[in-house]
This record gives sequence, structure tokens and C-alpha cells, in this order.
Amino acid sequence: MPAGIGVYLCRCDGRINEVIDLEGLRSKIGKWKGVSEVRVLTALCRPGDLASVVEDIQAGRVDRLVIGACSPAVHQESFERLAAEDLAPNLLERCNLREQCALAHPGDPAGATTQALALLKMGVARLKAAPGPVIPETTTGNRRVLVVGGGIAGLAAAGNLARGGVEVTVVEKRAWLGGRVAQLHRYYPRGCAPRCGLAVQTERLLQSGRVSVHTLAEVAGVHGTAGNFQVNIRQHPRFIGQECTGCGRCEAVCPVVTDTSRGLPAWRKAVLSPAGSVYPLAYAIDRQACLGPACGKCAAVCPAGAVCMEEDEQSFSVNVSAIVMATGSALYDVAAVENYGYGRLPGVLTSMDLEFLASPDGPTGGRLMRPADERPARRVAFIQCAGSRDCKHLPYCSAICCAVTLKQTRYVRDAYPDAEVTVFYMDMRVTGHLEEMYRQAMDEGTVFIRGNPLAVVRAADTGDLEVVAADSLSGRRVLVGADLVVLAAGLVPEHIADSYHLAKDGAGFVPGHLPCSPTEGRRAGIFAAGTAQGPMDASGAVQSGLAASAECLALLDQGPALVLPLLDKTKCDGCKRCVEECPYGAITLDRDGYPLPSATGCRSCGICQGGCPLRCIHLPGFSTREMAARLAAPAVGGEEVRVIAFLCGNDAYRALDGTVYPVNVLPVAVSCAGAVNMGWINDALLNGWDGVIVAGCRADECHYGHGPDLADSRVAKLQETLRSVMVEAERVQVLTCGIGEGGSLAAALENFVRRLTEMGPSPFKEC
Amino acid sequence: MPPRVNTEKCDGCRAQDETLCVLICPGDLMALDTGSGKAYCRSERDCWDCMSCVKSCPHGAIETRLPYQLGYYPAKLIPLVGSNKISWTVVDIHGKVERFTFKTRNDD
Amino acid sequence: MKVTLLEKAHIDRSGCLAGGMDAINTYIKPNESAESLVRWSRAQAGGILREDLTLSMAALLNQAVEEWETWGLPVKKDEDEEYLARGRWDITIRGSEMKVILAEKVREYGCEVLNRVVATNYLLGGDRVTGAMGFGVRDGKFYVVRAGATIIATGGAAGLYKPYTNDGVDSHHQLWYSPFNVGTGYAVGIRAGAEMTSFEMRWCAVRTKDFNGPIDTISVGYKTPMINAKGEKILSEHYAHLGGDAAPRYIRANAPMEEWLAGRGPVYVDTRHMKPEQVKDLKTDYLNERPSFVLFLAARGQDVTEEPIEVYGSDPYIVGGHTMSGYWVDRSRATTLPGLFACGDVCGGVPNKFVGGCAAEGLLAARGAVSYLSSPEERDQVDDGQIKAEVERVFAALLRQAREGDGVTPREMEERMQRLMDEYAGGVHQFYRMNRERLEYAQKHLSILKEQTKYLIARDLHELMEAHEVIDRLDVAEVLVHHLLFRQETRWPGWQNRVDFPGVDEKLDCFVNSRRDTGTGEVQVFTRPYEQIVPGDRTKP
Repeated sequence: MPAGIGVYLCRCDGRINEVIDLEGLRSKIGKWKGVSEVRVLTALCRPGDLASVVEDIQAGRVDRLVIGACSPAVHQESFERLAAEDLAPNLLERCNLREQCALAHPGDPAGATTQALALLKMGVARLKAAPGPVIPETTTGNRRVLVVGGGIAGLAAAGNLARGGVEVTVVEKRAWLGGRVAQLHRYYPRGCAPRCGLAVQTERLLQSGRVSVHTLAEVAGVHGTAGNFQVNIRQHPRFIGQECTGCGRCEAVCPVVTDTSRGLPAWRKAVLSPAGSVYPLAYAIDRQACLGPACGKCAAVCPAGAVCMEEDEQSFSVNVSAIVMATGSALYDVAAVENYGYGRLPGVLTSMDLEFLASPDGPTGGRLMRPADERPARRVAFIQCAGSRDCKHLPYCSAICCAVTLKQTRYVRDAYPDAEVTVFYMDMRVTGHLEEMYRQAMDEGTVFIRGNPLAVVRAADTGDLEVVAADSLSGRRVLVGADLVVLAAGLVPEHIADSYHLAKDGAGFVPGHLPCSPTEGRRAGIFAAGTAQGPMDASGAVQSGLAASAECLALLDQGPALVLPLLDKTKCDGCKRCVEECPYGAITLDRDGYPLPSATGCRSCGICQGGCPLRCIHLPGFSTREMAARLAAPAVGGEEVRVIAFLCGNDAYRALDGTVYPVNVLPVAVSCAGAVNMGWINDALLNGWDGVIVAGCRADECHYGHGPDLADSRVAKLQETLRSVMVEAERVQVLTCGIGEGGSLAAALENFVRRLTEMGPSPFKEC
Repeated sequence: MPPRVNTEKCDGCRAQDETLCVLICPGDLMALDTGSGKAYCRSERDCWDCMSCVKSCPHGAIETRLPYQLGYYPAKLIPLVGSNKISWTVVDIHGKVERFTFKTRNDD
Repeated sequence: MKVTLLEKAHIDRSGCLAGGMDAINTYIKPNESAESLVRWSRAQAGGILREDLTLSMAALLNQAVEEWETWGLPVKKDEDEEYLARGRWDITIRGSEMKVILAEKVREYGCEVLNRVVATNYLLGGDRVTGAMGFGVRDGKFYVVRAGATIIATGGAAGLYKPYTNDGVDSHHQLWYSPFNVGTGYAVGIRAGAEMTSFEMRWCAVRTKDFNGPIDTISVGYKTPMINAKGEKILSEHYAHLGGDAAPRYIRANAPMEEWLAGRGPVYVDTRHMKPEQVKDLKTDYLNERPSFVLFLAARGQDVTEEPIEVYGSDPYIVGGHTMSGYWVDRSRATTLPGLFACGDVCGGVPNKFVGGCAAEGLLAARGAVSYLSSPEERDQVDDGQIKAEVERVFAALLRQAREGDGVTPREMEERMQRLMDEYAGGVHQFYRMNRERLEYAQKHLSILKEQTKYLIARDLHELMEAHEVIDRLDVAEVLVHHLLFRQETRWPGWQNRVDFPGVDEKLDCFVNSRRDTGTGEVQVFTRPYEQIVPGDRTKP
């Protein structure tokens, strides 16, 4: 006899069969077409019973499996292994007869048995409509990664990857590696010069022989998906060739002096020096500031003949498996906080300005003085939270500014041990061992005033800067004179183009999905690191760079065995909604314009399946025919209210396990609320179901990002349509449910059934 | 004739180059307004009311109306499209509701 | 074998079946035969049709539908699981998605489909058709498709005449036939010198009043007689001598018009006897074919058991499905141009073809084309000058707009042509009546309009398509008027009323065919003799 569907009902040592009449079910199911074996076993999870199932498969009696037993949340591995080894995952159907049936309807064995029969009927119908086995795919990408950003996070990532045998391309938009950290005078916790640490990172990188570094380079476009990115890179000209020895004569003769910040006078030349960077130790020309070949002084004086004014922009592309976005951040433009006078009052600086000032390569050669009038900075006031934690500017805390300020009080003390240093703060946030810096500053006589200053003004007579504040601890108004006022401004991310499709927060950072996937920006294969993720210090940036590199390594070697969505090309219209809605950017288009899911990018969330208007892309087991068969299977006519509930497998479905809920509700597990296609709901209503529930996680808890949001908007539109066809919109509801909220879910279902009973049968029932 | 697009429900099919209604209209009459990102009918007088656009819209954002030459206001005809069934709801100008559900495709 | 399908819209919903279809009206039941079909169809068409073509079509009618059913088309069955008889040749289907079902199969079998490409002319190698040319109405590209064999299946021509509701807001396309079928298939053949037949046998149909929607299916399916304002059953009362309720189709078209003129209108199909389940079935039928008709009834608050459905004549259509206007072909559906095959409404000689017959002809043309496939050398004889000339012709209206910014819009020209045809070539406002002088006037002004097409402007690709639609319609209209002038008799009153020749002329008991000279542009009209295969009186079923 040809193979067919095997239905195995588990007594669960009595737990199930003391409520549900399994023998009765067995005799009914035995008569169904397409079912070749139906048996009642004592405990399917135990080796003996499980082996008998395997034997049926191997003997060719059964090629599709219905397991009527405990919840799919239990014994997942044993049944999945069974499916993987002897069948295919899409040909296994688990019917939850214990937690969601026998145990869910105490005192109603008849109801539970009826429900069990309906669940099994749906499972069998679904399997009958299934195509053959769908074997999961595995792939590998190539062993190449692109790191965007040569700051400390990018260097840490690139170095780690390179030592792991990966070919790395580093693209950095400035002329040198090192990023923001290279511009610092010192960094904590050790108070050492960053050039040392950067040298270590850069050496690790270059020694591997597997890294190609491109400075003055930017990403022009990213195409493809995880495992196969095609990245176009634009290489800006340096105007100084590889012959450069770093002697510095060009800089000395350059007549142009340009502005670099509003707080400091112009001091940089049009010929830029590597300064704090370690690689490459070569100069570059800022062509916008430069006077051009007409001036030519640098070219004339260069002993190596390295100046080349005629260099053109170049383009090239790389093909990589993964990308690390370590694009960093900048200081908030604190001139926007007008009362503090940045850019207006000489002597008002940002914390970054102070780094330059303290540096020997800076405008004053490292002497702490007010550059405009060379007044020594014996009195320095620091204003914390300048434009941060402020609804008019940056609403968030940038985490590092307190430690930065404490570090900078050292600069002042080192220059002038008796200096008057005042720190205006709202809260001092220095955690862990950095508390030491706070203690030391206080011991050295730094005055901490708790109060966010009203303004920085200039005394008309003396020309002194004055900080006007209220000391919230004493309650008194305070006026502090200063030579320099340093504004501890917060961090804002460097702009990442929308075309990357990374999930950004309100400020533009890519914070990842905490706590489960910290570096993942929702675009498969692209990992954020460093301050591109959020404010963090150099130590944090290095750690996040290493974390990102670890995520990349996972993609390069054996990719996971994934279940990819299947596409029916005879139905596909090329509308590309799946490409747009995929939270991972895992779908690209093939040569003929059909969607092509990427094995390395896809997470099997099913959101493509939920949105497809033609229902031609779907996860195995959820094709139009299989779902239609499921929905048409149980008897849904008559007076009994019948509800179909699509529950997200992560939270809502598991939450329902072990609750008591109405027997009129038939649950179906789906991968995400966003994976529910409105066409299924149409089919359910047209087949006479009285109501439909879609239950998933809360919007900010969804593992796949925007599943619940999509479910909400799709159902809202469907409800609009229902109203226009004179059907109660309440017949379709979206519920949210966390994994521990089974009780509320069950209560909501109870309520729903009651409402439907009041409303009366679905108007489609009579048709 | 005129297909009416409900701009609250229409999402321009995610503003890809061709919305589904634009893709399907036998008269090439639907178009995407790139400014608003919504679909619209470029020439209502040329519509044949075949209702292909209405059936194709995943959000049910399009409704067919008859020209006033032919019928009074405000009757409605709205489909609910299933995978192998369809249900049409008709509401006449007196508010009377009728429903017609039938199979559109055999699956086996 | 590579097959390329050129479609001006999208194959899932293009053409006449966009809304679906509720019945197949050419299915041979076990108690009928191909010969009985010929006898019936012949009588319906006033005694003239191509018997050989009808017989070859009949052989495949059932197969085409049965195959469609295996692909998913629902067919209504009786208790014995046999197709339920709706009428003598008619079965009920639920065809709302039938085109989609068919289109999926086209893709599944690997056909290359070029949607949104408007065909503009054949590619010719001498007089052999070696493919086609056209332009993309979305991408603006020029397409050249070379082929060993070409099948033309673009349907018939609507919109040559002014329909009677198009003066209203938004009701310009209130036609029974697809307004997007403009006769391009005929036009490209006419321009290439193919022989056409029977254009004068126009399809003027009885249709629902104002909505201009299907009604025959109701009459057949629900036995609703045509009545006038006095409640008289028109056909049995006034046309008993011509067959009463079984009178030929053109009588049924003529009847309401005669009643109106005689002052006994309006005319209805009497639905008042129908039971509620029948009304539900009727509406379900409409929802499968022309759903907005149900909206029409709702928008009038009309209960058809109290108020019967009013009918009137439609604007005239030139089709090879209900009547037999189209390419002159042989049994393999080969036209008079080597390499070109025709099927469906664009193919002439077989009236009462309907959807089933079109499907059967599709099979015939496919077989004909495959067995014809010419050698590659012959196929590659392409004249580059031909392509260049066509590119210029195709994009002329766009270029004119860009260069001059002034001219005639396609819409203006279409409206002018429609009124001309309506008034002078026997349109619905003229109750289909025409005479020589009016037809000659029509001819004269059609020439002028054709001359004026060089002034057409198009401001975007959609309007460019409209420009070609009016150019093609004019070519068809010119040939049509020639045919109408030639047939100096009134063989099919209702379809073709020559007021100056009201009787039937024995000498014209034959086919009227035409061919346009590709050099001079002159339309030559001539006859071809009738060939009877199935014996019997040709005017009786």
C-alpha cells in the first residue's frame, strides 16, 4: 500500500487519554482518506514508542507525520531530529493535545475530544495538501568582510577578523585610521596617549597580511544580502602620493590656515598632517581649502615629489559576506544651546576642542590658554549635559561625558596645579572603577556644583567669561568666572544612509536588538560596532568591535540550516512587497526580477509570507493550498461559535500552553504575527469561521522587529474592508501577549467568544 | 466606472515602481502618484469596471463606483477575495444587503 | 521551442475576460454533434458561415474546456457529476478568475511573456510574416520580435462607433465588449495586405439598457422572453415568421429597436417570473462575468422580480466570435499571409464561436503554427529599413508633441471618428440604418481623418498608445465601410440595415472579402463562393 499519513496519538502516560477519548479518535481517523497508519501510544517521547514511529517511516508505511501529543514547546529536539533524519520538517505536523487541549478544558472531556478531532483534522488536511519534502538549505559565504570606519571599533573588528583568517577591507573616510580616538590627547582609564593603543590595533591588522586599508574612501552603494554583498566604493584623491615620507615641509610652507571648529581659531593648514594617527604616516591635501596649482608651494618644497594635484576620484567594488558598520559619531552641535555662547563667545569650547588645545599638535602647542588673547587657563569651568538630557536638544544621556570631563580636569591640573576648576553637573555618572577619577578630582580641589547653568555670559568690563547657575544643593545663585568654559556635549551618530535598511533608533544610532542580538541592525549580514551603536567610550568601542567580528565569523563558516521561503513564480507579479517588508533585507531580486531569499540572511520569520498579496511566497507548511486545506477541514457550520487563532510561536502560542481557554478556539502556531496573511483571514471568514484572532508579541519585543506593527496595520485595513461589507469588524482581532501572559490571553479569548456569541453566527455561514 | 482609491488604506504597494493595481489594469488606467505615494486612476471615463484592480488590492483600498448616468448614489459592491473563493457584498441605495459567495478555483 | 507572447496589458486580466465569464456557450453535449452545431450556428447567422472552419473548431471545443477545468476552472455539475446543461450548447462556469488560472499555466509552461508591449505592425520578409514590432507602454522601448511563425489573437474591434451613454461623465467606455480591444489585430493585417472577411456582418447586440452589459446568458439560462411596454412577447408576437423565440440572432438585435421606433418601447427581458434562488443564481452569474451589473441593479434599487431588466441595442462591434468578421483563414487557421495564423475573435468565418470556440481555435492555430515553422534562414530575412520606418511611425506623436507642441489629441480624433461612424455608417443612434450616400460620406471623412493622423500628439506613453488605438481603428473602419457599401442588401437586419436595399439579394449568398493593396492603399472588395459541407436548408437549424 502506498505511503500515506501516519497519525500517532500519545496517551502521555494517561495525562491526555484521561480527558480525551483517544480510542474513539483512532477509529474515526482510521477511516480518513490518505491516512495509512493511526496508532495510540503510551509515551511518544520515550525511545520505545518513538522507535516504532521511525520504523513505520523506514518501512515505507508512512511518509507524512501527525503527532498528537504534548505542546511543540516540549520535546522539540526529539521530534525535530526525527523529521530531519527520516522525513523533512515540513511533513511533520504537531497537534497540541495536552497543554492546549486535555489540560485546557477541565471538566469538559467531550469538548476537549471534539477540539482534538478538529485539530487533528486540520493537521491531516494540511499534510495532504503539502507538496513533497522541503529540505533545508545550508550555504557558506566567501571569507571576506568589509569594515566601514577605521576608528578604534573598526580596527578592533578588522584585526580580530584578520587574525581569524578572514580577508578584510577597511574603508575610512578620513585620510588616516584612528577616528575620533586619534584626535584625543589622552584617554581613560589609564590616561595614556591613544597613539599607543592605536598602534597596537593597527599593527595587528597589518601584520596579518589579509587586510587592505583604503583611507579617503567612502561606500557609494551596497547591494545584495548576507553572504553576497556587492559594495561600491568611492576613493577620493589624497593629492599626495605614496612617496610621502612624512617630513612635514609642505605643511610648514602652506599659506592657508583653515577653521576646524567654532570654538578654536583656525590653525590647520590645507595640507593635513597625520598628527595623532599612526597609519598611514603620510600627509593629505584638503583640496577645498587649498589654493590649487596656482600656489604650488608645497609641491615646490616636497623633497620626494609626492604632491600630485591632478589626482582623480576612483571607484571600485568588493564582494563580501558581511559588513561591519563602525562609522562612529560626532559631537552634538552645541551652538544650538544659544545661552552657552558656543561660537559666539571666545573661550567657550567643547570637550573635543579642549582635546586639541591640550595636544602638542594643536593650535597652542599644548599650552592651556585661551587662543584668542592667550590668557592662561587658570580658571576652567566644565558644564555637563550641555544640550543633553534636554527635550529641546538631545533627550538621551551620552554616557561618557562625565568621565571625559574628569579626565580633562587632569589636563588643567597638570598645567596649573592651583587652577580653579569647577564642574557644573546634574548627575555625575561614572560607574565602576571610574569612580576613582571622581574621587581624585574632588581630592584635588575641583569644585562640583549641582546645577545646569542658565547661561554663559561675558562680563562687559573685564571680558571674563561668567557661568550663571543655581546651585541646587545650597539653593543659591552662583556666578563663576572662568578663562575657559568647556561644554561637555553629547554624541550624535554619523549619518548612515537609509539605503542600508538598518534599524535605527530615534537619534540615528543602530542599537541592535538587546539583549539577544546587540550588534544586529536588522539588516542581515551588517553589524554595527562602536559609537555607531550608541554613546560609549573607547573600551566599549573595542569590545563592541570584537563582538561584531564574532557575529561575522558565524556567517562566514557553516551557515545555519535554514528553512527558506518558497516562491511560486507562476503567481508572482514582481510587486516586491516582500523585498520591502523583510526586516532583514534578506530578499533580493534574481535576474528575471523574481524575489530571491538569501540563505545567509533569512531568519524564517515569515513576514514576506504575511504581506504577499498573491500568496505566492511562503514558508514550507504555509502555502496557500495548505492553509486553505487547514481552514476548510473542520466542520464550521452550525450554531457553535468557531474561532481560528493564529498565535506567534515565540510568545503567544507558548503562553497559551497550560491555560484554560474556550474550546471553540482552534490555535494554529505561526512564526510571527507578521507572518499571518490577510488572505488566510479572508479564507477563514469565507469558510464560515465566526472569528479570527492574530496574537503576537508587543511591538518592541518582537524578535523580528516590525511583525506586530505590520499585523496591526494589515488587520486595521481588513477591518475597514469588513465594515464596508457590513460585517462586524470585531470578528477579527489582534492581541498582544508576552510569554508569561497566558492568563490574560485566555481571558481575552473567553471574552472574544462571548462577544461572537452575542453577535451571532458569521454572515458568511449561510452562503 | 471610476475606481476610487482610499488614500488612507493605500500604501502605494510600498511605493515600488508598479503597484498591483497599476500592474493589472487592462486599460493601463491606474498610475502611482510619486508625490503622495498612492495609486490613482488617470482616466476615469475610460474604466470598464472589470474590477481587476479592486480584486488585486491587498488592502481592499479600491472601490468601484458607477457613473451617475447609470446608477444612483450610494450603492456598493465590495469583494472579499479568498484563495479559492470570493464573496461579494452588495448594498443597494435603500440599504438592503446581499451576499454572494462562490468558488473561484478548484484546488485538486 | 521558444514561444513569446506580446500583450498590450497584462495577461492575467487582459481583453474581454477581465471580469471573468459565467458560461461556456459552445460545448457539445453527448446528444449533439459537430454537424448539429454547424446547422444551428448557420441558421443563427442567416445561412452563411465557413462550415469547414466550424467543423474543425467543433472537434476541439470540449477538450479545451475540460483541460481548463483540470487547471482549476470550476464547472457546475449535475447529480451525476456531468456538466450541468444551461442551454442547448451552454454550461455554467464560475469564471471570475479564469484568466488568472490560464495565465499561470502559460508561465508554468515557460512561455516568454512580454506584458505591456503594444504591437504596432508585423515584421515582413516579402509577404511572409516573420514576427512583429511594437513599443512598451511602460518602458517606452521599441520591441522587435522575430519568429518562425506568428499567431494573431488580439480580439475584435470596439469603439469604432459611439456608444449611447458616452456623453455622460465617466461613462465613455460603457461598452459590452472590451473597450481596450480596438481592432489592432485586424489593422496590422490590413496594412500588410491580408485578406479579411465579412466585416459588414457587424455584431449589434441586444444588451441591458444603459449599462450595455450581457443579457443573452440570462435569456438562455433563465428563459426570459423579450417583452415590450405593452407586455407583449415580441419575438413570438411579431417575429413568429422568422422563428419566434428561436429566431436568428440578428432578429433578436433588431427587435427592440423596431419596438422603440414603433412606439412600443421600452423593451425588457421578463425576469418577473423568476424565483429567489434563480435571481441569486442570475446575480452570481453576473458576478462571474460583469460584476458591476449587480452594482447597477443595486444603484437603481431594482428588484428584478418586480421590475424586469430593460434592454436595447448596443453600439456595433466588429468581432469574429459572435459574428464572423476577421482574417480569412484555412482549416489550420493560416491566414493569406504566409507565416501568420489567426485565432479567436480576430479570426473570421466562424460566428457563434464564444469563449469555448476561441479556446479551441487557439489550439488549432498553435498546431498550425508549429507545423509551419519555417527555416531559420527564411526567418532572418529582415529589412532594416522596415524597422527604422516603423520606429518613426510608432513614436511620431510623441515627437510631434516635443517639437511642435500642437496638433490633435487621440481623444479628439477618437470622438470625431465615433460620431462620424455612428451617424453615417449605421450606429446605434441611427438604429443601425445606413444608405449609400451616408456611407460614402463616411468614407470621405475617414480618409481625411487617416490623413490627419500625422497631426496626432501624445504627451506620455499612455497617450501614445491611445494614438495608435485611433490609427488602428481608422484602418478597420475604412475597411468596414467598404464592406458595408459592397453588400447591397439587408441580409441581417439589425446587424446591417441598408435602407436603400431592404431585401435579400440571392447573388450575395456568399462571403464578402477584402484586401488592401499594400502599394496603393486601395481597399479591394470581392466575393468568395459559399461551400456547403453539412447538408440541409442553411437558414433552418
